[in-house]
Amino acid sequence: MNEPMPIPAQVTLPWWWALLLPLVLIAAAWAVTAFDAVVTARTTGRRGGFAVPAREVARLLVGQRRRTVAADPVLWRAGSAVLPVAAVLAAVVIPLGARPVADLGIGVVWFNAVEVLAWAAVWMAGWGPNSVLSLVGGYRFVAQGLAYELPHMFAIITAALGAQSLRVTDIVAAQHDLWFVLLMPVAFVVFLISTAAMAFWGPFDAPVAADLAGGAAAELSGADRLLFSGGRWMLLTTAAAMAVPLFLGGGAGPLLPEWAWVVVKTAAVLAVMVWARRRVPRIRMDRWTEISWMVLVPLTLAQALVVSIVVLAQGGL
Amino acid sequence: MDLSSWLRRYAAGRPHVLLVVSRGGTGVRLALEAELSRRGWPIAAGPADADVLLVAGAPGPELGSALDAVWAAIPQPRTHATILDAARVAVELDRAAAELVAGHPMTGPLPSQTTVDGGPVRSGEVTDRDDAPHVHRSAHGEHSDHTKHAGHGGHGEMRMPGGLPMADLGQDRDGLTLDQLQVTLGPVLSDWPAGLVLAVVLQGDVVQRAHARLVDDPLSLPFWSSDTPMTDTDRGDAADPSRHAAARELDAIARFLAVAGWPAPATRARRLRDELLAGASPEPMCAAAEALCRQVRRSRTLRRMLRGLPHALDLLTVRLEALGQAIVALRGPAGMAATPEERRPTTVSAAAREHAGSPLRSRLNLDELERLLVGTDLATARLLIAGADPITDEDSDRTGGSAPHAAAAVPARRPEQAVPVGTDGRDGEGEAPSAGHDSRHSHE
Repeated sequence: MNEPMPIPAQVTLPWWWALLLPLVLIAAAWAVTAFDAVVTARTTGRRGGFAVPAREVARLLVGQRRRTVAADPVLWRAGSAVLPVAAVLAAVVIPLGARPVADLGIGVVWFNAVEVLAWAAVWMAGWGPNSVLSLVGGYRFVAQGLAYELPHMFAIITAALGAQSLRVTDIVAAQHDLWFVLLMPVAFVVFLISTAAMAFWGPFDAPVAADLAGGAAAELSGADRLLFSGGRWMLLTTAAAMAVPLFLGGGAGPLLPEWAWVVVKTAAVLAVMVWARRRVPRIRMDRWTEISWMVLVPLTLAQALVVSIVVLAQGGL
Repeated sequence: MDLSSWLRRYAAGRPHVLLVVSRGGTGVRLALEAELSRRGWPIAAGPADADVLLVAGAPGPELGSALDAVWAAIPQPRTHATILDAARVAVELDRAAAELVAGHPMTGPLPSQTTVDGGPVRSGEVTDRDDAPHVHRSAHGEHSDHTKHAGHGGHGEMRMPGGLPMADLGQDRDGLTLDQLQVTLGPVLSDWPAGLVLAVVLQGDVVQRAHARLVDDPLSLPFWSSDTPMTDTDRGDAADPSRHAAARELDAIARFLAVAGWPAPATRARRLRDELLAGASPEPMCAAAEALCRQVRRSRTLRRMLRGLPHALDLLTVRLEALGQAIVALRGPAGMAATPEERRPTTVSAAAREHAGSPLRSRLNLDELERLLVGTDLATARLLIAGADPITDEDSDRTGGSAPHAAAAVPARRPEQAVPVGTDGRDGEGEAPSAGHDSRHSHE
């Protein structure tokens, strides 16, 4: 943090990694789905669950696509397709080991901008089929977005502030001495919470909840549902993986190669998410907006202030 | 074997099941839920996510026509089964899986025509069907004329393809002029009282008016009976009323927790319920149920979510107290001795007592329920319905009155009476229902 890091000769992965990235992300999301299914099976006293993602994919591939009367098919179908695309685009800046697929100078902003596509995706999927319950699911996600996005942005910006750079590899390098999770624990926790909200995961799954018969996803079947729910898993995985370079020191760690540490840390973050989903009742967005704006926004701002002072004290800026 | 039939065969190992419960189908529902949980087959939240339509108990004419509409909304490959006897659950599930593997597009009889005692049970008229302009945007459990669309693969679930009428405008609670959508919730929804149909006027997701009624008439005795334990028609060994009562309360609390989106304790409550009904020894069950109550009571998140919602916290308290009482009763004479004096005064908290009328009742009837719902958003409405746990499989007046025929019972209550005042001091629902709305509810 004292002096600028020397920039390595080659900071990005070879170009063909861009083609590989979607597959890596799908494999990771697949593993998370299987893990979640195994945990679910155990809570109901069964074994297994490993085959669940495979069976689901098979089922949705042969399933008929649904049409509804007076639908808005373009927005509706696009809503499903945008989610996996957003997840892949966001993952572009995450270092898979030492290097990302694209080491953008504004990597943090890119990540945040792309993940906000989820707003559009869920809203369009809710609006498209011309169905009350899915429309209400869309409403719920927009309200959720208003609640989580401000603290989410402040949390991300705090990490960038600590590294004095918007480039994700710089943020990793800045954690050479001290992981940001220790320097800015509040930002880390807020990032995890808002990540779950962004992927409408766990206690924040009101937009697709069963009390609305599936909410924004209520009218999706076949390939559309595969894209939507698969995209959601991919988004969750991407966002959890982003916590690693932002707060958990990237690929830093003993013995194992860097990519393995990224995998291990991402898996740990996802395990927390899978656990929290079962532990916590669903969060109502009206309540969450209050907590989010009255508690989390001031907390993250205070955290950013503390980090700024630390940076100044170390002679930065 | 080509790829798609291989995929179909593989997917049939874990089909999603849409569970529809007729009034009087509770016994079959419990057996089904236990068997589905044992197999790990998920319960679908709606028709689009379902492969198998399972009907627990004999559907009457109105539920039958709702089933046909729901059936049309289930994507291929699909199958359906009506289960009248809890003993046949496993057989029917195996058959359903086999049909999914076979995968020929199911063009056979509609669900309503494969039911009960003496063939088709369709009657001429469905209570909710009328010709008034009617915004039908939701798919679930609505009665709609789907036959027009049957030709293109069974997607249609709305009448009037294209050219749907515009929604009416009306003042909402915040003084904005918003669309008023007339939506029918139920009778096909997950964690929903059997046979309940709730006609609501929505603005955004806020219920402006609510009218609750029940479809059809139960063809069998209620499974949960307050007076006498069920005999061997539904479930073989349910001779012990206290065991039955505890299972019933566990079922109710599981439903509330499921609607509140808290899966872990909901699953646990359902497992306890199933084990109790299967004849597990009561003492460990009681201990586990009490631990569950404590966990729910202590959850600060849940309380924080429910606080401020009208009546939600009260109804949860009622449910927990009722479960507590049932556990005490199940513990046996020693526990019973302490029950009446200690427990009863705290059974129902003040606000709920005001609505429930009697401090000893832990379940609301439909009139009380629809009063609670006005002014709430859909999520709250679902919670209140789960917490009120209205009795829907009895014929008595307590159910909110389905006399001999459901259709005949409707005009007995004028729609104006179904438009209650706000329950939490909100105003904005003062406008009178238009003539069009009136005609919708009258079926003389």
